[in-house]
Amino acid sequence: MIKSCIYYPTTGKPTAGGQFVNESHVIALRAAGIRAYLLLCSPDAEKHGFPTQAYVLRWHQGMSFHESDVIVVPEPWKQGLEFFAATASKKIIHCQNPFYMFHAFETIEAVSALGYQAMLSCSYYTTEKVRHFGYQNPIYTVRPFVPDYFKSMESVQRKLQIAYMPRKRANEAIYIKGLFKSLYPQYRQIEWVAVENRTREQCAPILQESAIFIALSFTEGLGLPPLEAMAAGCLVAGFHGQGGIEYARKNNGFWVDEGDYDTFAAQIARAIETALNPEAFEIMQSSAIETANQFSQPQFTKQLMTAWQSILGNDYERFILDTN
Amino acid sequence: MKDSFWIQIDCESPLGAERFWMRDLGVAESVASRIAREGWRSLEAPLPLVVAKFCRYFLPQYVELGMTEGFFSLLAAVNGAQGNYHLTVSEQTQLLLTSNFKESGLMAKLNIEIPSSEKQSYPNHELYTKLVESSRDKVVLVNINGRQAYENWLRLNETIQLGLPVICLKVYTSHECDQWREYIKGSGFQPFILLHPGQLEPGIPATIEDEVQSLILLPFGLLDQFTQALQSE
Repeated sequence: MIKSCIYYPTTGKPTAGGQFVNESHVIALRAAGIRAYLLLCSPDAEKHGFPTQAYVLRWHQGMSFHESDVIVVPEPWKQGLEFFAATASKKIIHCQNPFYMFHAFETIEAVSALGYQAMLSCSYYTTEKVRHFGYQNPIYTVRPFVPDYFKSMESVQRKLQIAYMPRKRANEAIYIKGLFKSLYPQYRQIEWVAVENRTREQCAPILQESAIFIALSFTEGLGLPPLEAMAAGCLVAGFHGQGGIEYARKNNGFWVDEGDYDTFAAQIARAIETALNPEAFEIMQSSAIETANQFSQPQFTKQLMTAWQSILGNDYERFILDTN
Repeated sequence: MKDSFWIQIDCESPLGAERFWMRDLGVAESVASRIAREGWRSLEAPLPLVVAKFCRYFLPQYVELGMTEGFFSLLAAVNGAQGNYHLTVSEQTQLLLTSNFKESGLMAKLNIEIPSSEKQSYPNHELYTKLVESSRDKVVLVNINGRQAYENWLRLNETIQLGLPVICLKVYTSHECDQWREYIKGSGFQPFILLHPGQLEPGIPATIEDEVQSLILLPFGLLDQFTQALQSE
């Protein structure tokens, strides 16, 4: 009997949130004794280094995908979705952003028509969205976790500075910063620290020493950076980016509706005022940390394994690693 | 970690599909890299198909002499070889072999000897005993690799002369012709050049047109069965 595999195809080393999540799926499945691999489909990727704890298979022409294998393809990757559709394996979409669903599919019916039989989803928000589109096959919600290295550290002195990740809204970040400094001149001297061009782990110390994090989330399936900032003990102000309504509450951040920039500036000012009040800071920080703690590794692993037990069903044993 | 890169090798046959995994060391000339580029059948062709067919037919004990990443022994194991005995491997090779067998779920079939020094009695008594004990009523397939393979083969063959039917596979180059021709004279083996998975040419030619060629040494009396194995699906 052939040994069956779960493959998570990728085109390179993890650099964005969704890729980290795929990597964490493979690592967790392996830790649970299931044969799972990241499947590297880009031959040049390794030249640029590929630091990962996950098992990585290099795709090559001679590889065969069997009926009992399962391939998990990201929702926006049209080329990959079409390529793996031609295999005999069971195929699953990993939808980490409902806003990208139609990058590869004309309509929601096209998902099943292409042979993708089920879906993994990164949040209840995403699951609901995809259901709203009319998707009727099984969806397994597996929320990612915030790594422990983001956790708030008492030993690190927190500065009254504003950390922000401009990647998704570079233009608006400039506007919001200028607007805020213009409307609230009393806070002009507070430093803004752009968190960019770093590994995920390298971002953590900046968040841990910053009192405030500006959320520039945009059309997200969940939105990990605000959660990472909450875990690090920051007060978060800004956009929830749709997917962030999964966790954005009045008691854990200063949230802003899409396009309301004046309110955005006002919420930053409120966050600063709260940060200057130790008692108020601690209350909101505790709520934020509590929210982030809901995205724990044990919770993630539990959801992941429940999902895969259901997906693999009676074939589960074929995927168990025999390394003795 | 670069170490975490792997290649999956799928071997289809009319009897079913099998697969195993090898570390991809990221070196262009590594076995795994060559298989990824050219396919598993092309490595020292036609030897991979011969090993697969032979193992499916005879379910032999498989012995590998010399340094190796383990491709042929993994291939043998998934195609029915009962035990994989690796002799004269370095510690580094042992790590590679072990991780490849472990990832492929074949650890139960792996037996390794690492010589502690060049003067160590060869092969290790315990492993040798295990090989002989487990080989009763079975054919032994020996695959020879590396620079000192000839000497290693001589030492192994001296100790294994207990009536076990041993088939030797050797991929050799032109400069080794004389050495092997001399050896074969009194060895009790019939030499054949492997042309295709189903074709054997008796003898060992004076010159080799290709750079490498596969030499097969068959014990007398096993030719018919070996030919049947080669002609099987």
